[in-house]
Amino acid sequence: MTRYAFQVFQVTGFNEALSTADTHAITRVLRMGGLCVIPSDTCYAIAADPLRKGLPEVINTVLQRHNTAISLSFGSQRMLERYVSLGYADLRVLDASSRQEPLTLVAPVRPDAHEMLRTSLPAALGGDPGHLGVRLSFSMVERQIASEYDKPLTTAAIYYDDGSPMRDFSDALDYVVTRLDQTGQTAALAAVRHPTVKSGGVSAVVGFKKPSADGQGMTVYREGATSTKRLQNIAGRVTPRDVEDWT
Amino acid sequence: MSDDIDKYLSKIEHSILATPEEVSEGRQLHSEAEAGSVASQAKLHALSTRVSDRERGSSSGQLVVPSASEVATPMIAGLENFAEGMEPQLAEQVETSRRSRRLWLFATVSFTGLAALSAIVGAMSMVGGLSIERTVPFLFFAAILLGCSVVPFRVYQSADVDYRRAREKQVALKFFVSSIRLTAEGGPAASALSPVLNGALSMFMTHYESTQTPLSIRDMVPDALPGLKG
Repeated sequence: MTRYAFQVFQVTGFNEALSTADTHAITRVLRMGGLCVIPSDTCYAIAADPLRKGLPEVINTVLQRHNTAISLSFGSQRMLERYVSLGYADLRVLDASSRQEPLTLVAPVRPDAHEMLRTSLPAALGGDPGHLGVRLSFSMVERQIASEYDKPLTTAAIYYDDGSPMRDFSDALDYVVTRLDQTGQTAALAAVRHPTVKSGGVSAVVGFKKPSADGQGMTVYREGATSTKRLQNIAGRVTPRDVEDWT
Repeated sequence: MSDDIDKYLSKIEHSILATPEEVSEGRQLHSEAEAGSVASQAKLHALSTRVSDRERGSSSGQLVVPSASEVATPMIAGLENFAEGMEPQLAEQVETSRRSRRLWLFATVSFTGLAALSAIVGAMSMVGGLSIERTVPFLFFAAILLGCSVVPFRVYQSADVDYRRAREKQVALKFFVSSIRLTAEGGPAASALSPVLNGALSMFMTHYESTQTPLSIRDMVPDALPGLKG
């Protein structure tokens, strides 16, 4: 028996934006503690409010993630930097990321952030203490919803049983609805129908142990569409942004 | 009113960033507000706003106008300088995108017009008794021109979006400038206008940096002034 309401919205292209009314309807679902199936960079993902009690656990249960750390997706770099501190190397790899080479950064929470933000959020998302996995998505829909919501969203990829990412809307929605039923969750659900997500691989996940100007101390949590060697080259290369900061 | 206070309490209770003390304080204020205490309702709202700000990562980045006028005056003057510096930059951005938009619209219309003209000439020639072999080049030319008009049309669409975003940024800046003036004229009450100024700066920066942020009434009336939302 279905114990939740769900709404389906539609965009017709990768660069297509949601209408204002649809965006507001989706953020209303998120505000109520609901889940949203959205097209992310490499496949469909579940977006939810990570700051709401119990939602990361719901996502882990629905997606059978076994408490793998959940990353956050932001609407803009400014919004991202309200939560984490980025060093030169972080900014260089972030600048070099693209739709073909998506990237998730593992960065420390800002030292001047509220104590609860520094402790509770990383704990709820299951990552390294004091660190968050953050990304700026190239999916217009994901960026638009996070911007309108004015808070980061979870971006937990939906996978088939064989571990390959789900790029088809019907499969993703079917999977989430089935899992909600199986696990007895009662969350409201919204979904954004989108042409099949085209992507060559998964996003690379990297972090820098300490702020460094030479790209040293890089930890690759997952090698995705971008090779470790390329990431190291990018992280150690001086950019116009650095020169602007230094002068 | 009951809906509002329920919403404020729910916000606090559901947030992972609210401390246990804040949750219990929120519950107590909620029961007092339900009994009709306006002061408790205001306190509950302030508590809920504090938790919301924390969730937005802005608890320590609030723009607060100092109560001492000798400190507040140079700060407001600095903000005025900043806004004055942004105005010509945005005006230039609007003008450039407007010119580009007009140019590409003209190109689109020209290509389409030429295509239509070629097609009409081709059709008239055919009606006038010219052989198919002689009219085909006209029609072929018309088809090519029509195809070519797609490129300037796509560029026009992109220029149009740039223009509209630049205009949105300009509106946000105007609101920011107005709130600076309001604060500057506030005199001893300037400090109380901090939420307005903070909301206006935040809104301007969001519009300035974000790729897609349509204006809404929530932007124009900061959260701190719920009564003005109607």
